[in-house]
Amino acid sequence: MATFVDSPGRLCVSVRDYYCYKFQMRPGIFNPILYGKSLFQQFVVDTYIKIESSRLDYIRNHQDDIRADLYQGLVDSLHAGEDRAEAVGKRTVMPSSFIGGPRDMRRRYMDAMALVRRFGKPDIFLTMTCNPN
Amino acid sequence: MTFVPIVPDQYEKVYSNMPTDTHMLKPVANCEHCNAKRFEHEPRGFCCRSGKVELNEANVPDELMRLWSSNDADAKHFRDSIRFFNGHFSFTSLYCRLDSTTASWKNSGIYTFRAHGQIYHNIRSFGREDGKEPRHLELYFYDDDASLEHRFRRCREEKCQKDKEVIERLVAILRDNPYSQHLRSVGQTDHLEDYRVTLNLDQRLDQRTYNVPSISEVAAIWIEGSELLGQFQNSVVLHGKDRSRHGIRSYHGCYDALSYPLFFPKGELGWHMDIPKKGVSMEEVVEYRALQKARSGSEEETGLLFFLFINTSYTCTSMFIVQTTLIHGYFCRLPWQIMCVCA
Repeated sequence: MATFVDSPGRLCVSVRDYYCYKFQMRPGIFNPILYGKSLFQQFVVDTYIKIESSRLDYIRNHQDDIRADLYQGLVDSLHAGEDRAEAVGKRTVMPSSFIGGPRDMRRRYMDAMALVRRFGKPDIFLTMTCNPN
Repeated sequence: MTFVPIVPDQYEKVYSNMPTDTHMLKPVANCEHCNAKRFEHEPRGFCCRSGKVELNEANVPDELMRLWSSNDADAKHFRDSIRFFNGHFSFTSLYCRLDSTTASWKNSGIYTFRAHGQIYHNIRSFGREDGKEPRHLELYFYDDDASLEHRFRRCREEKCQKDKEVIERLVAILRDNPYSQHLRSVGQTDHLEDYRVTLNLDQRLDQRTYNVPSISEVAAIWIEGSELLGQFQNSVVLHGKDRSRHGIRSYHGCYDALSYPLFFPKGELGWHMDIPKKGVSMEEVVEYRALQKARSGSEEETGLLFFLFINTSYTCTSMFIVQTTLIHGYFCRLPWQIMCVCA
């Protein structure tokens, strides 16, 4: 039995895949979610929260696998003069692949700065929003 | 006569390069596995992981389908005020710590819905409180009453007549909802404070075929003092004597059904952990979970709280996570400063 090779990823549908499937348009099939107008938007945001919390849960429960001990959070806080044991806490390290994590943001910032160095400053900084009404 | 000075236009370079035709995406064939409509440049496994994911289609009641898709006056009103109606009929309500500095037009340019910490869907016990009108799930208690007075009281004044019309139709549609059926049976009793409603959080239906949870699967009702029936492994208990709050977590299958009854009128399940992929049998999943449980000793209780600062822009549904805190039994330092843009 090769059950040890199994993982939830091989057997089960992930949150992202599940909702990607649900939000598709398929000819001949009535999907009420896509008719929801602003409720659809609310549902999408809610779903993203769901996806993100499942990612965060994974990262927190797999700290050993992503070798978070190398980041030495405990040592750092002791160096910073923290001597109360209850205030040291447990540090959770996010991988740079977590969208929105500090290391992801830093990576994006570095990319942007590299572009500026290569091509010069941008001419236009454009932000677009739309009127919800 | 007007004098036009001949000065070279400094923006000439920009305007001379204006494209003459609109750029359009080329039509692409539908997905060969799940028949989803695809756009040009969309990655191959985007809709169904190249056939690995297969789920059932929603089975919408005819009357609700009319409200969603037709051009009748009441259907239009239903769709225009869809968030009002969903809030009216949802069993849970949203809880979060709002950032008051951005959630107003006065202080900040654009209204920004920014929450501190995690956003929760909470469900309340139904104990009576003086001076409070029934809300959310308590409204379902009295749906057998033909006058629907309890619901009409919550209509918006300016659109009262239209609201009433739609609410009447929705009550009729949601009569088949398994949660509604339970709650209506509670509503006919005199001693509400003696009653308990247990909601099953641990539903694991296979969603590759059309499956609707049966009435006995979603919830159970019993009277205080009688023996507690432990038929659900993981459940919340709602009391008739207090107004305690219970969180519905994102990994519970009933999350979508309780929050968006208009999308899932028959209590259809949303995502849960044990939905097998195509070609995987339910037994394999059960076997794997049992093995996992045996290996880790006991199932890990996810009692930790993640505090996210979620910044949901009302207009373009983007989120910024600013700061994450982790509480682990005892309070600990704010470990990270995070900024995130995900459109």
